Amino acid sequence: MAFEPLTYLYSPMKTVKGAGWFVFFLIIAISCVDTPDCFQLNNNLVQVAFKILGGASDQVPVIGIDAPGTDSVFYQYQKVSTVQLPLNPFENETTFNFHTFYNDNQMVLGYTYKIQFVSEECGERYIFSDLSIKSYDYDSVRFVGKTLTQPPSTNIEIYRCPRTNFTGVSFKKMSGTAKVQDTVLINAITPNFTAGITYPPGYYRSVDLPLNPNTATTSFTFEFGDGTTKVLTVGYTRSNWTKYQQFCGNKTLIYRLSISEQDFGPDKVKLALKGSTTQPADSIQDPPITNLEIFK
Amino acid sequence: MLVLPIFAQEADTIRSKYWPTGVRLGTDIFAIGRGFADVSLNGWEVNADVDLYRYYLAVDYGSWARALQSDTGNYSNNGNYWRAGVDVNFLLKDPDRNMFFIGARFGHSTFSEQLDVVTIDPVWGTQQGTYTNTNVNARWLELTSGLRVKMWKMIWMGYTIRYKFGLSHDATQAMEPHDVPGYGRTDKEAYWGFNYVVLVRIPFKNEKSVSLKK
Repeated sequence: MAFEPLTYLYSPMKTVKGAGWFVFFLIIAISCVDTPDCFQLNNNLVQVAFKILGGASDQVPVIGIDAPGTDSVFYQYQKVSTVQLPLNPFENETTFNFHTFYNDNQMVLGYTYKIQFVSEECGERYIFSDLSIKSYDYDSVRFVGKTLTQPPSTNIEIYRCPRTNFTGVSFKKMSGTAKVQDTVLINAITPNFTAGITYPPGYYRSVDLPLNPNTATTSFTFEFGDGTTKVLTVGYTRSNWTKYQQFCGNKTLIYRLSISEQDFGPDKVKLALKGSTTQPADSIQDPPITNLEIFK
Repeated sequence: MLVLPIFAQEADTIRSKYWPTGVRLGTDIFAIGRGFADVSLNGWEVNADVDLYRYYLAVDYGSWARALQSDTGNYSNNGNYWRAGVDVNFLLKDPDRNMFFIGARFGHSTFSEQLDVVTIDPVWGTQQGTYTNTNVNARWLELTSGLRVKMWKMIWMGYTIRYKFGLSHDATQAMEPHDVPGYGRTDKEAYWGFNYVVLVRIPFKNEKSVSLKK
């Protein structure tokens, strides 16, 4: 050790005294600002991202996500690409039931947690760690990380096979000469084949409708809240699509959409345009784009 | 043969240079004062150091207990701790042995704690629980700095600022410690501490024969 004496420090003890008081008040100041922030103390939110095989972000029309042990329903009637779900601080696992317009799925998550007293002002907090997926029934799930952070970051990615037969229908109305979004009350939408999808009664701005990949046309019966019933028949061209055949089996690509029949009235159903172009948006994409516009 | 006396003289000088001249014993009046100012805290600490030239071997021993109450629970802990380390004095030529030092410590604490809590979760409901950690061992490191000033004859006063870090413990899976006696709150990576000590210096017999000069 080769410390040299600090000669400037001990000649005038005033310097030492001054430095001492400075440091003393510095410590007092630090201790004063050392009060904890009571906001969002727990790291109990697990973040789940929805993806389509191939990597694109999915927009999932969620009816609701529920879990045994609580009456809460999360993300009710929302279109989401990520969700943040609270883990149960009284158990070492939480089961989430995902109800969407397309299907129902379940995922069981395991984890450990500790309780910690934070302060008299904030009370206690729960510290979650070692997240794991105990079971799931999705096409594919990627576990990104077991660490739960605050604010949350993605822990789990849920992948599904591309859907190649959903057409987006948007409800519009004219305001003067401008075309604006409309909201309509719908009691039911029924396709002319078994699609396994139900549309609960409610107000809709847009819907994604399934086209039958085994036929060249599909008809839909709209039962509106005002008591009227309208039928729309959509025609299209089909071809085989084998990109994810290994995981998803054979898929049918649908394009060149057209309006075969409709009883909404003249010019009441139109093919939508691609952005600001004059090109019709007449092919199916995933997530669905708006292919058709209905002026109720 | 002619150089031997010179070697012997140098050896005597080194031995006398590093020979301790006295021991200081004292207590932390800041810890006692906090106990009066804050009814939730009850603690004391005693301190000792011994000089080896510019180096001081320092030892602290203390105890504290806390009882805290929030809207949803009661927390309490109690335990003992010790610290040991070395301070380096930078006021080596001061005739009164006033001291400005920088040093390091190893800290160890053994404590128990209990939390009685009613957790009210907006999603998952309400649950009551009691969590305990018994005879937990905790360890940490400290960087220290401070002053020691001779006030009157054998009486010395001074303070120590502590930068505490590297806390580890063997607490149970159920509860993360909130407050480690001797260290403080555990929810931060590092923690500051402060002692204001009053010390009595007891000189050793041979003090007069030891030169303070380099």
